[in-house]
Amino acid sequence: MDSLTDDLWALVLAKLPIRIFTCFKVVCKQWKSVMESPFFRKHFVSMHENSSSSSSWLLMSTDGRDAIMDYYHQCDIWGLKRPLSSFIKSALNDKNPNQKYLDVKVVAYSDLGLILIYAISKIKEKSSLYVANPVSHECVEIFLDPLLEKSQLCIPQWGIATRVDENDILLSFKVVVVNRGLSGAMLNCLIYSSETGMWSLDNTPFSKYFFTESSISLNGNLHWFAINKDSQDFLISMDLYTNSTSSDRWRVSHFPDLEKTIKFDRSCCRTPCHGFLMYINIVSTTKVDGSLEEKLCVWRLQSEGWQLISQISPGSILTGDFINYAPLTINPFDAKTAYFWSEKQESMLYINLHTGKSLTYNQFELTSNRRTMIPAHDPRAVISLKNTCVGLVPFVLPQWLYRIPNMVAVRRV
Amino acid sequence: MENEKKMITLKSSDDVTFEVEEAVVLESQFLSHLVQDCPAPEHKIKEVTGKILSKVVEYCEKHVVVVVDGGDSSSSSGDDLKKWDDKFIKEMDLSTVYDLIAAANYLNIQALLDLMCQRVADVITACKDHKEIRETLGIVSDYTAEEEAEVLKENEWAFD
Repeated sequence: MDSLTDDLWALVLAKLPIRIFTCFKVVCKQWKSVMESPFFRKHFVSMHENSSSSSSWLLMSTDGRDAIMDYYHQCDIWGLKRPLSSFIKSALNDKNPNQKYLDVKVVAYSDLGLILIYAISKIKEKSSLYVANPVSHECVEIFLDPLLEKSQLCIPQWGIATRVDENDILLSFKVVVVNRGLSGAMLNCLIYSSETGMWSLDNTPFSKYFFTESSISLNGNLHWFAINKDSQDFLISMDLYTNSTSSDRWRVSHFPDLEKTIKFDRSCCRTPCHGFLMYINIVSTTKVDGSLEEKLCVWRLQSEGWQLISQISPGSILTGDFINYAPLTINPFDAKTAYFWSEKQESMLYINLHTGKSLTYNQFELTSNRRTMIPAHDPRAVISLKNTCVGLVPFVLPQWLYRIPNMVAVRRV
Repeated sequence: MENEKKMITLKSSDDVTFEVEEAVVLESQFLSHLVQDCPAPEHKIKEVTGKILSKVVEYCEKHVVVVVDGGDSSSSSGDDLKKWDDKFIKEMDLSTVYDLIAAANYLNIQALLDLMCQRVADVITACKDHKEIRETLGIVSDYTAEEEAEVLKENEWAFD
Protein backbone atom coordinates (compact mmCIF):
# COMPACT_ATOMS: atom_id res chain seq x y z
CA MET A 1 0.00 0.00 0.00
CA ASP A 2 1.35 3.43 -0.87
CA SER A 3 -0.55 5.33 1.74
CA LEU A 4 -3.19 5.07 4.44
CA THR A 5 -6.87 5.87 4.65
CA ASP A 6 -8.02 9.00 6.47
CA ASP A 7 -8.88 7.13 9.66
CA LEU A 8 -5.52 5.42 9.79
CA TRP A 9 -3.65 8.65 9.14
CA ALA A 10 -5.60 10.14 12.06
CA LEU A 11 -4.23 7.37 14.31
CA VAL A 12 -0.68 8.11 13.17
CA LEU A 13 -0.84 11.91 13.31
CA ALA A 14 -2.46 11.89 16.76
CA LYS A 15 0.77 10.40 18.12
CA LEU A 16 2.60 13.65 17.39
CA PRO A 17 2.72 16.68 19.68
CA ILE A 18 0.42 19.62 18.98
CA ARG A 19 3.34 21.93 18.51
CA ILE A 20 4.64 20.17 15.43
CA PHE A 21 1.44 18.93 13.90
CA THR A 22 0.44 22.44 13.02
CA CYS A 23 2.44 22.30 9.81
CA PHE A 24 0.95 19.04 8.56
CA LYS A 25 -1.88 20.68 6.72
CA VAL A 26 0.53 21.88 4.07
CA VAL A 27 1.74 18.39 3.27
CA CYS A 28 -1.30 17.39 1.18
CA LYS A 29 -5.05 17.84 1.02
CA GLN A 30 -5.71 14.49 2.65
CA TRP A 31 -3.73 15.43 5.75
CA LYS A 32 -5.47 18.79 5.92
CA SER A 33 -8.88 17.18 5.86
CA VAL A 34 -7.79 14.52 8.40
CA MET A 35 -6.56 17.17 10.80
CA GLU A 36 -9.70 19.21 10.48
CA SER A 37 -11.97 16.22 11.06
CA PRO A 38 -13.91 15.71 14.31
CA PHE A 39 -12.66 12.10 14.40
CA PHE A 40 -9.05 13.27 14.62
CA ARG A 41 -9.78 15.74 17.40
CA LYS A 42 -11.78 13.20 19.41
CA HIS A 43 -9.09 10.59 19.03
CA PHE A 44 -6.34 13.02 19.99
CA VAL A 45 -8.12 14.40 23.02
CA SER A 46 -9.23 10.97 24.30
CA MET A 47 -5.72 9.62 23.87
CA HIS A 48 -4.36 12.32 26.13
CA GLU A 49 -7.09 13.01 28.63
CA ASN A 50 -6.49 9.84 30.61
CA SER A 51 -2.80 10.25 30.87
CA SER A 52 -1.73 12.37 33.80
CA SER A 53 1.48 13.15 31.99
CA SER A 54 -0.29 15.44 29.59
CA SER A 55 -2.14 17.44 32.21
CA SER A 56 0.16 20.39 32.17
CA TRP A 57 -0.75 23.48 34.09
CA LEU A 58 0.85 26.46 35.67
CA LEU A 59 0.06 28.64 38.61
CA MET A 60 0.49 32.18 37.44
CA SER A 61 0.96 35.15 39.69
CA THR A 62 -1.42 37.95 38.92
CA ASP A 63 1.23 40.48 38.11
CA GLY A 64 1.47 38.40 34.98
CA ARG A 65 5.21 38.08 34.84
CA ASP A 66 6.03 34.64 36.04
CA ALA A 67 4.56 31.38 36.96
CA ILE A 68 4.97 30.56 40.59
CA MET A 69 4.52 26.91 39.85
CA ASP A 70 4.88 25.26 36.50
CA TYR A 71 3.49 21.80 36.45
CA TYR A 72 4.23 20.22 33.17
CA HIS A 73 5.96 17.58 31.19
CA GLN A 74 8.38 18.70 28.58
CA CYS A 75 7.99 17.55 25.01
CA ASP A 76 4.82 15.58 25.46
CA ILE A 77 1.70 16.70 23.68
CA TRP A 78 2.87 20.29 23.29
CA GLY A 79 6.44 19.67 22.31
CA LEU A 80 7.44 22.73 24.34
CA LYS A 81 11.09 22.95 25.17
CA ARG A 82 11.00 25.77 27.68
CA PRO A 83 8.70 26.91 30.45
CA LEU A 84 5.92 29.03 29.07
CA SER A 85 6.76 32.20 30.93
CA SER A 86 10.23 32.38 29.48
CA PHE A 87 9.37 32.83 25.84
CA ILE A 88 6.34 35.10 25.55
CA LYS A 89 8.29 38.33 25.51
CA SER A 90 10.99 37.06 23.17
CA ALA A 91 8.35 35.58 20.84
CA LEU A 92 6.54 38.91 20.60
CA ASN A 93 9.74 40.82 20.02
CA ASP A 94 10.81 38.38 17.31
CA LYS A 95 7.55 38.89 15.51
CA ASN A 96 7.71 42.67 15.75
CA PRO A 97 11.35 43.47 15.10
CA ASN A 98 10.73 47.18 14.60
CA GLN A 99 8.78 47.59 17.80
CA LYS A 100 10.71 46.40 20.79
CA TYR A 101 8.54 45.76 23.79
CA LEU A 102 9.64 47.16 27.06
CA ASP A 103 7.16 45.41 29.21
CA VAL A 104 5.14 42.34 28.31
CA LYS A 105 2.60 40.97 30.73
CA VAL A 106 0.18 38.12 30.46
CA VAL A 107 -2.84 39.73 32.06
CA ALA A 108 -5.47 37.03 31.71
CA TYR A 109 -5.91 33.35 30.94
CA SER A 110 -8.77 31.51 29.33
CA ASP A 111 -9.77 28.01 30.39
CA LEU A 112 -9.01 26.76 26.88
CA GLY A 113 -5.43 27.86 27.21
CA LEU A 114 -5.44 31.16 25.37
CA ILE A 115 -3.64 34.08 26.94
CA LEU A 116 -4.20 37.83 26.86
CA ILE A 117 -1.01 39.84 26.59
CA TYR A 118 -0.63 43.53 27.39
CA ALA A 119 2.57 44.96 25.99
CA ILE A 120 4.11 48.39 26.19
CA SER A 121 6.60 49.30 23.50
CA LYS A 122 9.61 51.57 23.82
CA ILE A 123 8.31 54.02 21.29
CA LYS A 124 6.14 56.63 22.97
CA GLU A 125 5.04 54.09 25.50
CA LYS A 126 2.46 52.80 23.05
CA SER A 127 0.51 49.87 24.41
CA SER A 128 -0.84 46.86 22.54
CA LEU A 129 -3.13 43.99 23.36
CA TYR A 130 -2.74 40.46 21.99
CA VAL A 131 -4.64 37.22 22.23
CA ALA A 132 -2.35 34.24 21.74
CA ASN A 133 -2.13 30.49 21.92
CA PRO A 134 1.09 29.97 23.85
CA VAL A 135 1.67 26.53 22.39
CA SER A 136 1.25 27.26 18.71
CA HIS A 137 2.35 30.90 19.05
CA GLU A 138 -0.68 31.94 17.01
CA CYS A 139 -1.26 35.52 17.98
CA VAL A 140 -3.62 38.33 16.98
CA GLU A 141 -3.49 41.95 17.92
CA ILE A 142 -6.64 43.63 19.17
CA PHE A 143 -6.98 47.30 18.64
CA LEU A 144 -7.35 49.27 21.83
CA ASP A 145 -10.35 51.48 22.35
CA PRO A 146 -9.31 55.10 23.03
CA LEU A 147 -10.80 54.60 26.48
CA LEU A 148 -8.08 52.05 27.05
CA GLU A 149 -5.10 54.25 26.29
CA LYS A 150 -2.59 54.00 29.02
CA SER A 151 -3.48 57.36 30.50
CA GLN A 152 -7.12 56.31 30.79
CA LEU A 153 -6.44 53.01 32.46
CA CYS A 154 -6.49 52.88 36.18
CA ILE A 155 -5.45 49.59 37.72
CA PRO A 156 -7.33 47.56 35.10
CA GLN A 157 -8.53 44.02 35.66
CA TRP A 158 -8.48 41.93 32.53
CA GLY A 159 -10.33 38.79 31.63
CA ILE A 160 -10.76 36.58 28.59
CA ALA A 161 -13.65 34.18 28.02
CA THR A 162 -14.11 31.77 25.14
CA ARG A 163 -16.85 29.78 23.47
CA VAL A 164 -16.44 26.52 21.55
CA ASP A 165 -18.93 24.48 19.54
CA GLU A 166 -19.66 20.77 19.98
CA ASN A 167 -16.68 19.92 17.79
CA ASP A 168 -14.36 21.93 20.00
CA ILE A 169 -13.84 24.60 17.38
CA LEU A 170 -13.20 27.94 18.99
CA LEU A 171 -16.04 30.15 17.80
CA SER A 172 -15.26 33.37 19.53
CA PHE A 173 -13.60 35.04 22.46
CA LYS A 174 -14.41 38.08 24.52
CA VAL A 175 -12.01 40.30 26.35
CA VAL A 176 -13.18 42.20 29.38
CA VAL A 177 -11.45 45.02 31.14
CA VAL A 178 -12.72 46.40 34.39
CA ASN A 179 -11.29 49.80 35.07
CA ARG A 180 -10.88 50.55 38.70
CA GLY A 181 -10.44 53.72 40.62
CA LEU A 182 -7.58 54.17 43.05
CA SER A 183 -9.85 53.04 45.83
CA GLY A 184 -10.42 49.79 43.97
CA ALA A 185 -14.03 50.49 43.07
CA MET A 186 -15.10 49.80 39.53
CA LEU A 187 -15.22 52.77 37.21
CA ASN A 188 -16.34 51.16 34.02
CA CYS A 189 -16.26 47.92 32.15
CA LEU A 190 -15.47 47.40 28.48
CA ILE A 191 -16.09 44.24 26.52
CA TYR A 192 -14.45 43.32 23.24
CA SER A 193 -16.05 40.65 21.09
CA SER A 194 -14.15 38.79 18.38
CA GLU A 195 -17.44 38.45 16.50
CA THR A 196 -17.87 42.18 15.99
CA GLY A 197 -14.29 43.31 16.42
CA MET A 198 -15.60 46.14 18.60
CA TRP A 199 -15.39 47.30 22.16
CA SER A 200 -18.57 48.16 23.96
CA LEU A 201 -19.20 49.79 27.29
CA ASP A 202 -21.05 47.67 29.79
CA ASN A 203 -23.16 49.50 32.31
CA THR A 204 -22.59 47.25 35.19
CA PRO A 205 -24.52 47.71 38.39
CA PHE A 206 -21.53 46.82 40.53
CA SER A 207 -19.67 50.05 40.92
CA LYS A 208 -19.72 49.71 44.71
CA TYR A 209 -17.61 46.56 44.69
CA PHE A 210 -13.85 46.48 44.83
CA PHE A 211 -12.26 43.92 42.58
CA THR A 212 -9.11 42.73 44.19
CA GLU A 213 -7.96 39.78 42.15
CA SER A 214 -7.59 38.56 38.59
CA SER A 215 -10.48 36.85 36.96
CA ILE A 216 -10.90 33.12 36.55
CA SER A 217 -12.27 32.14 33.16
CA LEU A 218 -14.55 29.11 32.92
CA ASN A 219 -16.96 28.05 30.16
CA GLY A 220 -17.63 31.55 28.86
CA ASN A 221 -17.90 33.02 32.35
CA LEU A 222 -15.50 35.17 34.33
CA HIS A 223 -15.33 35.10 38.11
CA TRP A 224 -13.79 37.75 40.32
CA PHE A 225 -13.21 37.96 44.00
CA ALA A 226 -14.63 41.25 45.25
CA ILE A 227 -15.37 43.06 48.48
CA ASN A 228 -17.91 45.75 49.22
CA LYS A 229 -17.46 48.85 51.34
CA ASP A 230 -18.36 46.92 54.50
CA SER A 231 -15.47 44.55 53.78
CA GLN A 232 -17.71 41.62 52.99
CA ASP A 233 -16.38 39.07 50.51
CA PHE A 234 -18.26 38.23 47.34
CA LEU A 235 -17.77 36.32 44.19
CA ILE A 236 -18.82 38.28 41.14
CA SER A 237 -19.50 36.29 38.01
CA MET A 238 -20.10 37.52 34.51
CA ASP A 239 -21.69 35.40 31.81
CA LEU A 240 -20.31 36.74 28.56
CA TYR A 241 -22.38 34.55 26.29
CA THR A 242 -25.82 35.01 27.72
CA ASN A 243 -28.46 36.35 25.39
CA SER A 244 -30.07 38.49 28.01
CA THR A 245 -29.44 42.12 28.76
CA SER A 246 -26.23 43.42 30.17
CA SER A 247 -27.36 43.68 33.76
CA ASP A 248 -28.41 40.02 33.73
CA ARG A 249 -24.99 38.87 32.78
CA TRP A 250 -23.65 39.79 36.21
CA ARG A 251 -24.24 37.70 39.28
CA VAL A 252 -23.11 38.12 42.86
CA SER A 253 -22.63 35.09 45.11
CA HIS A 254 -21.90 35.04 48.79
CA PHE A 255 -19.26 32.63 49.94
CA PRO A 256 -20.64 29.47 51.54
CA ASP A 257 -18.79 30.05 54.81
CA LEU A 258 -19.88 33.65 55.19
CA GLU A 259 -20.89 33.58 58.85
CA LYS A 260 -18.17 31.22 59.99
CA THR A 261 -14.66 31.56 61.27
CA ILE A 262 -12.25 30.75 58.52
CA LYS A 263 -8.53 30.27 58.42
CA PHE A 264 -7.44 31.62 55.06
CA ASP A 265 -8.11 34.79 53.19
CA ARG A 266 -10.92 33.93 50.80
CA SER A 267 -9.22 35.59 47.88
CA CYS A 268 -6.51 32.96 47.65
CA CYS A 269 -8.79 29.98 47.98
CA ARG A 270 -10.62 29.77 44.68
CA THR A 271 -9.39 27.63 41.86
CA PRO A 272 -10.82 26.01 38.72
CA CYS A 273 -10.98 22.23 38.49
CA HIS A 274 -12.63 20.02 35.89
CA GLY A 275 -14.53 23.00 34.52
CA PHE A 276 -15.91 24.15 37.88
CA LEU A 277 -14.87 26.90 40.21
CA MET A 278 -13.76 25.41 43.51
CA TYR A 279 -13.37 27.11 46.84
CA ILE A 280 -11.35 25.68 49.69
CA ASN A 281 -10.96 26.84 53.28
CA ILE A 282 -10.63 25.66 56.85
CA VAL A 283 -13.78 26.39 58.83
CA SER A 284 -14.02 26.32 62.62
CA THR A 285 -17.20 25.03 64.22
CA THR A 286 -18.04 24.73 67.89
CA LYS A 287 -18.86 21.23 69.01
CA VAL A 288 -21.52 20.34 71.58
CA ASP A 289 -18.95 20.24 74.38
CA GLY A 290 -17.80 23.76 73.53
CA SER A 291 -14.49 22.80 71.92
CA LEU A 292 -13.52 24.03 68.50
CA GLU A 293 -13.34 21.73 65.56
CA GLU A 294 -11.61 22.62 62.32
CA LYS A 295 -12.64 21.19 58.98
CA LEU A 296 -11.02 21.53 55.61
CA CYS A 297 -13.96 22.12 53.29
CA VAL A 298 -14.17 22.17 49.52
CA TRP A 299 -17.11 23.67 47.64
CA ARG A 300 -17.97 23.70 43.97
CA LEU A 301 -19.87 26.51 42.29
CA GLN A 302 -22.87 25.21 40.36
CA SER A 303 -25.69 27.07 38.72
CA GLU A 304 -27.81 26.75 41.87
CA GLY A 305 -24.99 27.90 44.13
CA TRP A 306 -22.15 26.44 46.18
CA GLN A 307 -22.18 22.74 46.84
CA LEU A 308 -20.06 21.25 49.61
CA ILE A 309 -18.19 18.35 48.04
CA SER A 310 -15.76 17.33 50.72
CA GLN A 311 -15.17 17.97 54.38
CA ILE A 312 -12.22 16.43 56.14
CA SER A 313 -10.15 16.90 59.23
CA PRO A 314 -7.14 18.89 58.06
CA GLY A 315 -4.54 17.18 60.22
CA SER A 316 -2.24 18.74 62.79
CA ILE A 317 -0.13 20.59 60.25
CA LEU A 318 -3.01 22.88 59.29
CA THR A 319 -4.73 23.26 62.66
CA GLY A 320 -3.94 25.56 65.54
CA ASP A 321 -3.39 29.28 65.57
CA PHE A 322 0.01 29.47 63.97
CA ILE A 323 0.31 27.70 60.71
CA ASN A 324 2.79 28.48 58.01
CA TYR A 325 0.94 27.12 55.05
CA ALA A 326 -1.34 28.93 52.66
CA PRO A 327 -3.41 27.26 49.97
CA LEU A 328 -1.92 27.37 46.50
CA THR A 329 -4.46 25.52 44.39
CA ILE A 330 -6.36 22.35 43.74
CA ASN A 331 -4.93 20.30 40.90
CA PRO A 332 -7.07 21.37 37.90
CA PHE A 333 -7.11 17.76 36.66
CA ASP A 334 -7.39 15.96 39.95
CA ALA A 335 -10.08 17.20 42.33
CA LYS A 336 -8.71 15.21 45.25
CA THR A 337 -5.28 16.85 45.40
CA ALA A 338 -4.71 20.28 46.93
CA TYR A 339 -1.38 22.07 47.28
CA PHE A 340 -0.32 24.34 50.11
CA TRP A 341 2.88 26.30 50.30
CA SER A 342 4.92 27.66 53.14
CA GLU A 343 7.11 30.51 52.12
CA LYS A 344 8.86 30.61 55.44
CA GLN A 345 9.82 26.98 55.39
CA GLU A 346 10.07 26.74 51.61
CA SER A 347 8.02 23.67 51.83
CA MET A 348 5.12 22.28 49.87
CA LEU A 349 2.23 20.36 51.33
CA TYR A 350 0.09 17.96 49.32
CA ILE A 351 -3.26 17.00 50.77
CA ASN A 352 -5.54 14.25 49.59
CA LEU A 353 -8.98 15.83 49.95
CA HIS A 354 -10.72 12.47 50.23
CA THR A 355 -8.61 10.83 52.90
CA GLY A 356 -7.03 13.86 54.58
CA LYS A 357 -3.60 12.34 54.19
CA SER A 358 -0.90 14.90 53.65
CA LEU A 359 2.72 14.95 52.65
CA THR A 360 5.24 17.74 52.94
CA TYR A 361 8.15 18.21 50.67
CA ASN A 362 11.09 20.46 51.27
CA GLN A 363 13.67 18.67 49.23
CA PHE A 364 14.08 20.87 46.23
CA GLU A 365 16.60 21.03 43.52
CA LEU A 366 17.50 24.53 42.38
CA THR A 367 17.34 25.08 38.66
CA SER A 368 20.30 26.59 36.87
CA ASN A 369 18.99 30.15 37.04
CA ARG A 370 18.53 29.72 40.80
CA ARG A 371 15.17 31.39 40.59
CA THR A 372 13.11 28.28 40.52
CA MET A 373 13.25 24.94 42.19
CA ILE A 374 11.95 21.51 41.45
CA PRO A 375 10.63 19.14 44.11
CA ALA A 376 12.97 16.18 44.16
CA HIS A 377 10.12 13.67 44.19
CA ASP A 378 8.08 15.29 41.46
CA PRO A 379 10.09 16.68 38.56
CA ARG A 380 6.96 17.92 36.82
CA ALA A 381 6.44 20.76 39.25
CA VAL A 382 8.61 23.86 39.07
CA ILE A 383 8.25 26.39 41.85
CA SER A 384 9.36 29.95 41.54
CA LEU A 385 11.16 31.33 44.54
CA LYS A 386 10.60 34.99 44.08
CA ASN A 387 6.86 35.29 44.12
CA THR A 388 4.62 35.46 47.09
CA CYS A 389 1.53 33.35 47.11
CA VAL A 390 -1.13 35.95 46.57
CA GLY A 391 -3.63 36.09 43.79
CA LEU A 392 -2.52 33.03 41.91
CA VAL A 393 -4.38 31.82 38.86
CA PRO A 394 -4.03 28.23 37.70
CA PHE A 395 -3.57 28.13 33.98
CA VAL A 396 -4.06 24.95 32.03
CA LEU A 397 -2.15 24.66 28.78
CA PRO A 398 -4.31 24.03 25.73
CA GLN A 399 -5.48 20.43 25.43
CA TRP A 400 -6.15 20.94 21.78
CA LEU A 401 -4.92 23.27 19.11
CA TYR A 402 -7.58 25.92 19.36
CA ARG A 403 -7.27 28.21 16.39
CA ILE A 404 -8.06 31.83 17.02
CA PRO A 405 -11.20 32.52 14.97
CA ASN A 406 -11.02 34.66 11.89
CA MET A 407 -11.98 38.12 12.89
CA VAL A 408 -12.64 41.46 11.39
CA ALA A 409 -10.01 44.14 11.64
CA VAL A 410 -7.25 42.27 13.36
CA ARG A 411 -3.62 41.93 12.60
CA ARG A 412 -2.13 38.47 12.76
CA VAL A 413 1.36 38.65 14.12
CA MET B 1 -0.72 -32.58 32.61
CA GLU B 2 -0.26 -31.18 29.18
CA ASN B 3 -3.15 -30.15 27.04
CA GLU B 4 -2.67 -30.59 23.41
CA LYS B 5 -2.45 -27.14 21.93
CA LYS B 6 -5.29 -26.29 19.64
CA MET B 7 -4.10 -25.28 16.20
CA ILE B 8 -5.87 -22.95 13.83
CA THR B 9 -5.15 -22.32 10.18
CA LEU B 10 -5.27 -18.81 8.77
CA LYS B 11 -5.43 -18.29 5.05
CA SER B 12 -4.43 -15.00 3.43
CA SER B 13 -6.14 -13.28 0.53
CA ASP B 14 -3.62 -14.88 -1.84
CA ASP B 15 -4.14 -18.33 -0.30
CA VAL B 16 -1.00 -18.59 1.79
CA THR B 17 -1.77 -20.65 4.89
CA PHE B 18 -0.37 -20.30 8.38
CA GLU B 19 -0.89 -22.86 11.09
CA VAL B 20 -0.80 -21.18 14.49
CA GLU B 21 -1.67 -21.97 18.09
CA GLU B 22 -5.00 -20.68 19.32
CA ALA B 23 -3.24 -18.43 21.85
CA VAL B 24 -1.60 -16.58 18.97
CA VAL B 25 -4.93 -15.95 17.31
CA LEU B 26 -6.31 -14.55 20.56
CA GLU B 27 -3.91 -11.60 20.30
CA SER B 28 -6.31 -10.32 17.69
CA GLN B 29 -9.70 -9.20 18.96
CA PHE B 30 -11.19 -9.74 15.55
CA LEU B 31 -9.89 -13.30 15.20
CA SER B 32 -10.84 -14.20 18.79
CA HIS B 33 -14.45 -13.43 17.96
CA LEU B 34 -14.22 -15.19 14.64
CA VAL B 35 -12.77 -18.35 16.19
CA GLN B 36 -15.37 -18.35 18.95
CA ASP B 37 -18.30 -17.69 16.67
CA CYS B 38 -17.43 -20.14 13.93
CA PRO B 39 -15.29 -23.03 15.03
CA ALA B 40 -13.98 -24.01 11.58
CA PRO B 41 -10.42 -25.33 11.33
CA GLU B 42 -9.48 -22.80 8.67
CA HIS B 43 -10.22 -19.08 8.43
CA LYS B 44 -9.78 -17.06 5.32
CA ILE B 45 -8.76 -13.42 5.86
CA LYS B 46 -9.61 -11.76 2.61
CA GLU B 47 -8.27 -8.34 3.54
CA VAL B 48 -4.68 -9.35 4.31
CA THR B 49 -2.04 -10.68 1.93
CA GLY B 50 0.30 -13.56 2.74
CA LYS B 51 3.30 -11.26 3.02
CA ILE B 52 1.61 -9.11 5.63
CA LEU B 53 -0.11 -11.97 7.43
CA SER B 54 3.28 -13.63 7.93
CA LYS B 55 4.47 -10.46 9.69
CA VAL B 56 1.33 -10.35 11.82
CA VAL B 57 1.76 -13.99 12.79
CA GLU B 58 5.45 -13.42 13.57
CA TYR B 59 4.56 -10.48 15.84
CA CYS B 60 1.74 -12.28 17.64
CA GLU B 61 3.78 -15.45 18.17
CA LYS B 62 6.58 -13.45 19.75
CA HIS B 63 4.23 -11.52 21.99
CA VAL B 64 2.16 -14.45 23.11
CA VAL B 65 5.25 -16.40 24.17
CA VAL B 66 6.43 -13.57 26.38
CA VAL B 67 3.08 -13.11 28.06
CA VAL B 68 2.84 -16.84 28.85
CA ASP B 69 6.45 -17.22 30.00
CA GLY B 70 6.69 -13.77 31.52
CA GLY B 71 5.86 -14.62 35.11
CA ASP B 72 8.03 -12.78 37.61
CA SER B 73 10.67 -11.64 35.20
CA SER B 74 8.20 -9.49 33.30
CA SER B 75 10.44 -6.42 33.29
CA SER B 76 13.42 -8.13 31.69
CA SER B 77 11.25 -9.91 29.19
CA GLY B 78 9.60 -6.54 28.58
CA ASP B 79 13.00 -5.12 27.65
CA ASP B 80 13.70 -8.09 25.42
CA LEU B 81 10.37 -7.62 23.76
CA LYS B 82 11.07 -3.97 23.14
CA LYS B 83 14.38 -4.86 21.54
CA TRP B 84 12.61 -7.41 19.43
CA ASP B 85 9.98 -4.84 18.41
CA ASP B 86 12.70 -2.36 17.45
CA LYS B 87 14.38 -4.94 15.27
CA PHE B 88 11.04 -5.99 13.85
CA ILE B 89 10.23 -2.51 12.58
CA LYS B 90 13.73 -1.41 11.70
CA GLU B 91 14.16 -3.12 8.38
CA MET B 92 10.58 -2.70 7.30
CA ASP B 93 9.90 -0.39 4.38
CA LEU B 94 7.14 2.18 4.64
CA SER B 95 4.74 0.42 2.37
CA THR B 96 4.92 -2.69 4.58
CA VAL B 97 4.38 -0.46 7.64
CA TYR B 98 1.26 1.01 6.03
CA ASP B 99 -0.05 -2.45 5.20
CA LEU B 100 0.62 -3.59 8.74
CA ILE B 101 -1.23 -0.58 10.15
CA ALA B 102 -4.22 -1.43 8.02
CA ALA B 103 -3.99 -5.13 8.96
CA ALA B 104 -3.54 -4.43 12.68
CA ASN B 105 -6.49 -2.07 12.59
CA TYR B 106 -8.66 -4.60 10.73
CA LEU B 107 -7.65 -7.52 12.93
CA ASN B 108 -7.81 -5.28 16.00
CA ILE B 109 -4.37 -5.90 17.47
CA GLN B 110 -3.87 -2.74 19.51
CA ALA B 111 -0.22 -3.22 20.47
CA LEU B 112 0.85 -3.83 16.89
CA LEU B 113 -1.22 -0.88 15.68
CA ASP B 114 0.40 1.39 18.27
CA LEU B 115 3.86 0.17 17.38
CA MET B 116 3.37 0.77 13.68
CA CYS B 117 1.71 4.18 14.07
CA GLN B 118 4.53 5.25 16.38
CA ARG B 119 7.02 4.14 13.74
CA VAL B 120 5.48 6.47 11.14
CA ALA B 121 5.15 9.25 13.73
CA ASP B 122 8.86 8.93 14.50
CA VAL B 123 9.69 9.24 10.82
CA ILE B 124 7.57 12.40 10.63
CA THR B 125 9.11 13.87 13.79
CA ALA B 126 12.57 13.51 12.28
CA CYS B 127 11.61 15.71 9.33
CA LYS B 128 12.35 19.40 9.58
CA ASP B 129 9.46 20.70 7.48
CA HIS B 130 6.55 19.73 5.28
CA LYS B 131 8.78 19.38 2.21
CA GLU B 132 10.93 16.83 3.93
CA ILE B 133 7.83 15.00 5.16
CA ARG B 134 6.62 14.73 1.57
CA GLU B 135 9.99 13.52 0.35
CA THR B 136 10.44 10.96 3.10
CA LEU B 137 6.94 9.55 2.93
CA GLY B 138 6.72 9.79 -0.84
CA ILE B 139 3.65 12.00 -0.69
CA VAL B 140 2.92 14.04 -3.79
CA SER B 141 1.32 17.33 -2.91
CA ASP B 142 -2.02 17.81 -4.61
CA TYR B 143 -2.11 21.52 -3.87
CA THR B 144 -1.76 24.02 -6.65
CA ALA B 145 0.87 26.66 -6.01
CA GLU B 146 -1.86 29.17 -5.09
CA GLU B 147 -3.62 26.78 -2.74
CA GLU B 148 -0.36 25.88 -1.05
CA ALA B 149 0.52 29.53 -0.56
CA GLU B 150 -2.88 30.07 1.00
CA VAL B 151 -2.57 27.17 3.46
CA LEU B 152 0.95 28.28 4.28
CA LYS B 153 -0.25 31.79 4.95
CA GLU B 154 -3.05 30.53 7.13
CA ASN B 155 -0.59 28.50 9.15
CA GLU B 156 2.29 30.93 8.99
CA TRP B 157 2.58 31.30 12.71
CA ALA B 158 3.40 27.62 13.05
CA PHE B 159 6.70 27.84 11.23
CA ASP B 160 8.84 29.87 13.56
